[in-house]
Amino acid sequence: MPGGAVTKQTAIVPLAGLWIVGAVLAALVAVIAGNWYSPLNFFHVVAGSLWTGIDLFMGFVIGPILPRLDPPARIALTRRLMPKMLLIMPTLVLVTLTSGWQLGRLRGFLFLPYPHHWWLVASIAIVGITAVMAYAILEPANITVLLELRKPQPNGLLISRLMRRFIYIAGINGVMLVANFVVMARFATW
Amino acid sequence: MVTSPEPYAGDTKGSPVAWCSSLALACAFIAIGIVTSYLPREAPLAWALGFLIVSGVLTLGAVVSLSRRRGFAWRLFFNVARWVFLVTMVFTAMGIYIMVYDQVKGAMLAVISVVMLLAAVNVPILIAFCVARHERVAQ
Repeated sequence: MPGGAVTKQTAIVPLAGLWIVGAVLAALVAVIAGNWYSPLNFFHVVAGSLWTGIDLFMGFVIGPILPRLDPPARIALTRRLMPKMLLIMPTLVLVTLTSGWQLGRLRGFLFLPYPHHWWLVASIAIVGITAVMAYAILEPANITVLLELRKPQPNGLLISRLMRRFIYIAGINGVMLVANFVVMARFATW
Repeated sequence: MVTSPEPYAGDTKGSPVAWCSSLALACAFIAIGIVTSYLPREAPLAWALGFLIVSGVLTLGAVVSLSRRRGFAWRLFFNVARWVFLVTMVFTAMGIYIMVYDQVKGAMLAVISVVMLLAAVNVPILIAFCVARHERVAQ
């Protein structure tokens, strides 16, 4: 019974992961306080790449695979994947944005004259749009699926509908974040 | 003729709560974009203020529409909203930390503070509403 292997009621958020999130955020606070350029760059590049990479992976790799799985396998995958996404994605977003802002301040990208300044405006616009999509579609779908999976008889139709939506929007977000990479590549070469 | 009940696939009707909250967040982010676009100069506040006022009105619209909902899974809504509020507070705390650290002042400080306030209201409402709307409750 592959889909029913996880039958016990577990916490929605993997609590052990909270320690890792706490450690990452504490390290970020220390790096900002110390004005350490290289670690800031590390945080921004790693978190930003993971954020984009995971969105693209969800949209273009997991997305096409999921509908072809048997319903029990689909539920088993979703049940294991989504709690982790609930913890990973907000952490990556927070780390990317915070370290990026500080990096921009340290390297003077926030204060570039026009027309170069348009690149900064474009980057903020892209992040703003992806944030609204995440708040309005991605996170609610993620949480709804998790809550539905905790029920004795999960609504398969609702779960597959929301998962489809989650994966499409994650893919769109990934593409938008690649556009942001174009902006970052410009910044890196100035 | 026997008609079987339609399988429930969630509440996906357009809702004023979701629209108002999403647009309120979008307007708040536009206000930040406007202020940032003027850096390092101080931005003229008229446009940013305009978007913040629109965002505030939309937030009010979301709260009013939400309060008029009948047959809604309020328990689930508040359960989700409080956790999302906690996460939003972590984001806000990091934002405040950066503002204090960078000694941000003037228009930027004012706009970011109001945006944080608007986000602290709208993000939990939007996410919790979009989760709870799919829950069917006895009328």
